[in-house]
Amino acid sequence: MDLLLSPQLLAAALIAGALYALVALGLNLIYGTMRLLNVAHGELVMLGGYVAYWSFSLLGAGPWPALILSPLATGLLGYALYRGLFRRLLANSALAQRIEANSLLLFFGVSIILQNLVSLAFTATPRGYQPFDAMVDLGVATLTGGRLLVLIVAGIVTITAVLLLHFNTVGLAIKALIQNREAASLAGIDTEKLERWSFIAGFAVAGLAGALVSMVEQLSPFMGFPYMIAAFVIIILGGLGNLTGSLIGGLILGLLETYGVALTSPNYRSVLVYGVFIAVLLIRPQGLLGRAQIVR
Amino acid sequence: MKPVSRLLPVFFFAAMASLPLFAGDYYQGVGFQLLMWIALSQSWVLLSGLTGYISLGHAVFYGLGGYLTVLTWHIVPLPLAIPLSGLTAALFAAMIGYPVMRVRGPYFVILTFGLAELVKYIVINVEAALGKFGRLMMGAPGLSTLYWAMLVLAVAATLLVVLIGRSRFGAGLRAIREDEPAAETAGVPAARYKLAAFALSALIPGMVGGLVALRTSYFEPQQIFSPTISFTVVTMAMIGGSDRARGPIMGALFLVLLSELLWANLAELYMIILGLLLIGFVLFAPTGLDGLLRRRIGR
Amino acid sequence: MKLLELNAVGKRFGGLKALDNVSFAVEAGEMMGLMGANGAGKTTLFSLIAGNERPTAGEIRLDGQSVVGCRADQMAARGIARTFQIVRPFRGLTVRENARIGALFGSADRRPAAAEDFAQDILADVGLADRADALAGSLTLAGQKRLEIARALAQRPRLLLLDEVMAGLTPSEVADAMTMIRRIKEKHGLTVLVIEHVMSALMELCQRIVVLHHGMKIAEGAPSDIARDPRVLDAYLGVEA
Repeated sequence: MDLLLSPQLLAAALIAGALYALVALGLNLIYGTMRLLNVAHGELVMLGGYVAYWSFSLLGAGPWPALILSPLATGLLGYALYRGLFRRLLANSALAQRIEANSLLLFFGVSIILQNLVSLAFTATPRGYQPFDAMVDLGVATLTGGRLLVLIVAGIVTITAVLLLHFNTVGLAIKALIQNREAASLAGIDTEKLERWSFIAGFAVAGLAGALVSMVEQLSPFMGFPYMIAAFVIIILGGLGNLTGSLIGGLILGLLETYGVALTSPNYRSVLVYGVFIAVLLIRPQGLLGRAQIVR
Repeated sequence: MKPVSRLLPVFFFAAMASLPLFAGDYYQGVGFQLLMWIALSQSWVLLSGLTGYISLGHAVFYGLGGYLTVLTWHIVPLPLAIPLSGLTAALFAAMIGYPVMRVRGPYFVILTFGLAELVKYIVINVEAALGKFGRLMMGAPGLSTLYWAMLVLAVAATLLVVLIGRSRFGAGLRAIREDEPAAETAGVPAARYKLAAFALSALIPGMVGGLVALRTSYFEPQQIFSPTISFTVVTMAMIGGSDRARGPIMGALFLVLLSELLWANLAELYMIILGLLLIGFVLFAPTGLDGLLRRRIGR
Repeated sequence: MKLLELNAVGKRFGGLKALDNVSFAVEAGEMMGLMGANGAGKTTLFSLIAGNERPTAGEIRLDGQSVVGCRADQMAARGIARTFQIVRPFRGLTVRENARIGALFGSADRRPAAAEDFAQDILADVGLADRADALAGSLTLAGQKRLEIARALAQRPRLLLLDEVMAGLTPSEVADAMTMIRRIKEKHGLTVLVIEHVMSALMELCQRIVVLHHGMKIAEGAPSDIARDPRVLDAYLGVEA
């Protein structure tokens, strides 16, 4: 009981939740706007992590540059992939008919390539680093500096994202795009440009999440997988295309996982997560917060 | 030209049947693998190729079948255990099929994936509760017996695709793939057909799982329920072609050959090439090798 | 006995009332028209009759038997076939295969061999026989509309629901379409319900017309009566009749 109510556990849950929310937000920016199923999303997190690691080791300038470099790197990759692959997919009407299936396969190919390129380049040995070793006493709980940083940055970014979506013109445009592409275009929104930037933003956010993850977890080329799964679980829970929903969903997942494991045992973590996920999908295919689609 | 290409599968299986006569253990092993992938990919095509409901969790049937074979090892004679494994997998599919196949599009893809993972972790926990961390199977049949069994399964899986592909059932499945509401309006009983395809697609993988467990003599849930198996099956079907029986044969052959060339030294390179191939095929040859072949020679 | 009866049929989508208290009957062998502005509820009505949607109020009877709750494929088995306002061909299948689906799953002989032959005949009826091996997705819109009709016909229906099959056609194409519809109705002994915006065609083709407005029936009768009905004129002021 003591453990359950401890602020320590809460902090861990919030950190997990914030990270998940960030990863899910990135995925939703890509899926919600263009219906592209990014199963390489975990690899973007992994890449962000590796960029952060190398910036820390090579530049020795602390974790701050990583927070810029990682999203920049993955954002650039996003731009390259958009120009090279996905624009082609979106433009080909026959392929675009089955856009989810085809994008899934394309991203799957990308994911395999990324994992194995990194594995070739850096070997599969796990790596880690500690940016802020010193413990910080917050009164209620004690955290390493690194974890505190993750919590703060993830928290700021996610809250900013929510505010942007609700109060900023661009955010509004994105929501319009998600709801109805054609109508948005007719309303004067440059949908192609917006889609491109959403795509890149989704990649960048994943990279940022990766940089943060690298401060609290070990890195390996194949670490992205669970994050990708978590991201999909979250956006399904929150409703595909529902950006705020994915942020809430991320928090829920973080809480669920952390407290679920504390209540039972680490072995049941996956059963719990997948069990809830499948139950939700079967009962309410549109997710907990999504809107039902009338299939005509 | 035309009749020859139609008979490709026949020539292929004849060649595979004669393989044990002149190949050593190593190549028989490779042949076993090849036949396994064909059996799995064909059964995937039966569901996902024909209905368009892309499953990323095909390994769940394979794993369940393997698990049943392992559980009944030395309790039930093998000629009974293997078909039983297939039936169990099919039964499982039939039980969950109705709610599962109501889920459409990308939700379905992710659902099947989540399902495979869920079953995997349940089995892991069950095994842990039973005190087993991996099971060894002593006294399993040798490669030659298993090779023939797998050949039979690969042929059966191919035949299923051929026969169903030509049947009224198959026409209905394809209509569902093209436009499900329009298919229903035209009279196709979509819910029933999807359930049937789902259950049928589980039958052979269940048996394949059993054979593979016997071949490796070792059962470990992480391996047998591995998502890599599901992904490889999808990749083979996409590269080979997912609408006709010839596709998976070509896809599996191509990839197994490629992996033989590269895996030993350059596993990562093989995977990277695989990724590139997948991307290339999706963008430029979505009907796979089979589609390319058809375009060149007619049918 | 009437072939099709609708009694106080209503359909809500959430808060939106698409149809409200619609009642009429169709006799076997009739060619009946359904008229109304966009959004009047015509296509929704077709969806209810064909089983794509369930009515939220009222009753639908086929041959005197209630069919509320029957799925689309069950309605097809009972002899109802429809085309879609926005065409839905099976794009990846050939023209022949499209028609074959209707033949295989419709209300009569479902054996593959018989289905193949019948599909071929139907294609000839709609003038697509020479494009039988083309992919449905490669046809022009006019061709796809004819394919919709062919697929529906191949089901051997008793009641055929045609949803704006003449939209976008030139006047001479409209004349051809009308001839074709009359011909297939005769040849296959059908009852036909037609939704059309091309008023002249509707008036000429149909013996009786039902007019919908905002989901409610505002008039029913012979074309000449409808053309003079004050409620119809009021709803359609300015529209060519």
